[in-house]
Amino acid sequence: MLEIVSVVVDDSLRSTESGCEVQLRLKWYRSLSLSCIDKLEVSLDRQAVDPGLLSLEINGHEFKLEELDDLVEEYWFVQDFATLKINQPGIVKHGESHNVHVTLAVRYPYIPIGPGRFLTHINDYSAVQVAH
Amino acid sequence: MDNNKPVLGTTLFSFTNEWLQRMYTFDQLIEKVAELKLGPAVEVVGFQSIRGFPDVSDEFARHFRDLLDHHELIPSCLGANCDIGRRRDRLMGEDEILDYLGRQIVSAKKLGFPVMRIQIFIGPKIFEKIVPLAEKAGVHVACELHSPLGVDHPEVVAMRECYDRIGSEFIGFIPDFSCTMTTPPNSYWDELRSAGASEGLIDAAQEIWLTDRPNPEKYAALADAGARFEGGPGVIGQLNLAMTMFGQMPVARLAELLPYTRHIHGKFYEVDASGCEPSIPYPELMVLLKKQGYHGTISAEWEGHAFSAGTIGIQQVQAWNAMCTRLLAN
Repeated sequence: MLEIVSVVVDDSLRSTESGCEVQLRLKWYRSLSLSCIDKLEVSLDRQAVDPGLLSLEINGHEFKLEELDDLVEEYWFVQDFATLKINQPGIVKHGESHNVHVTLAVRYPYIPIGPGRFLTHINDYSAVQVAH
Repeated sequence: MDNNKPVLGTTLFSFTNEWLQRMYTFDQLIEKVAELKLGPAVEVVGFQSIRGFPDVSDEFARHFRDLLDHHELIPSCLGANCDIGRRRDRLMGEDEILDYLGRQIVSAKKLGFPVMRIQIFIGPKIFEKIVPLAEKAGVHVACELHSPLGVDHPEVVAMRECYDRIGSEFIGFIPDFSCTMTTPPNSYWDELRSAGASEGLIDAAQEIWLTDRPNPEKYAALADAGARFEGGPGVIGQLNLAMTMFGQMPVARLAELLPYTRHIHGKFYEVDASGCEPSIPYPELMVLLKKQGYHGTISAEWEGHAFSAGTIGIQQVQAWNAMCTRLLAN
């Protein structure tokens, strides 16, 4: 479903002073609050990245992953990009190729499938990108 | 505008692929509806199209109303959602639900929508408490009846009893033609073929869909067929989806829902080159609506984007509009 959008934008890997970043899209047809993110995991070259090093920049704010659960009124507008940052200086250098694997699981809070359970979609992206 | 027929229109939801590809701005989509005569009625899913939803700024509301007026379009329905599962650790409480829906009712009023769509799962108990909010705002709050719901579904029966008891015109239903299909759509079968399903499996699934059995029996039959034709787990999951996404309520039963109907979702998956929707009995549906004297709005709701990335929503809605105009003539 919704193959028109990729969770990680191709060619969006950037090397930065604080580490690196990629652009994400919410792979759904409507906006959702950040609290609906069930899981956001990253591996670089098949090595899992410590979640403590990750942050998500959206709507002009930067959030650590542990903050997302409470962000019930912070919406990821469906057309917007979010910047996923890995905060580890030097982790990716300009011009290098890296396998980027992102798992973004999103809970649809208005589609109940059982008592207290909601339709959840797990989106996986895995591709080699060259860091700009 | 002819007042003796259903009023045609479009939900911007039909343009989901174009929207996600960022091909058009909100204003440009409205302008397309006007330019291609896909109105006059316009429906919008709040959380898809409006930044800042469930709230709407005064400025945006003014701009929206002006834009529609300028193009001689009329707002038909605002798609609202009750995000009861937005917290990982608990459901929304009753007060939170009423507050969340209340904000969307206020937004519907600001934008000029006479009808607001919600989902039926909130149930009669909470729905009763929405009535005063709806009446105060002058917004009709209506539950969408999407497959697998139908006239006899226990949730629908419970809501009907609630409506009969309360007797307010500000609550009702929005029937969706996904309830009255004759077969799953071609694009659905095509997606299964791409996922590796054999023709034998597809034929078996089609036969199972057509039978009049409870869903659990259908799932078991599909699992059987999957094993016989070697369909993998992904394929079986998709096959099960057919039993809930594509409903089989006979068209005639829709008549029982019309007294409660505030708006209709003209669901469709494809209008083919001959101007027909092969999986939904549009000729029968339009005859019924005319015969029953339904003069409310119907949105073209293209849902082919569930199975296809093609940015063909605009072209499909054009075809739908031509089909319905032809069927409603004389």
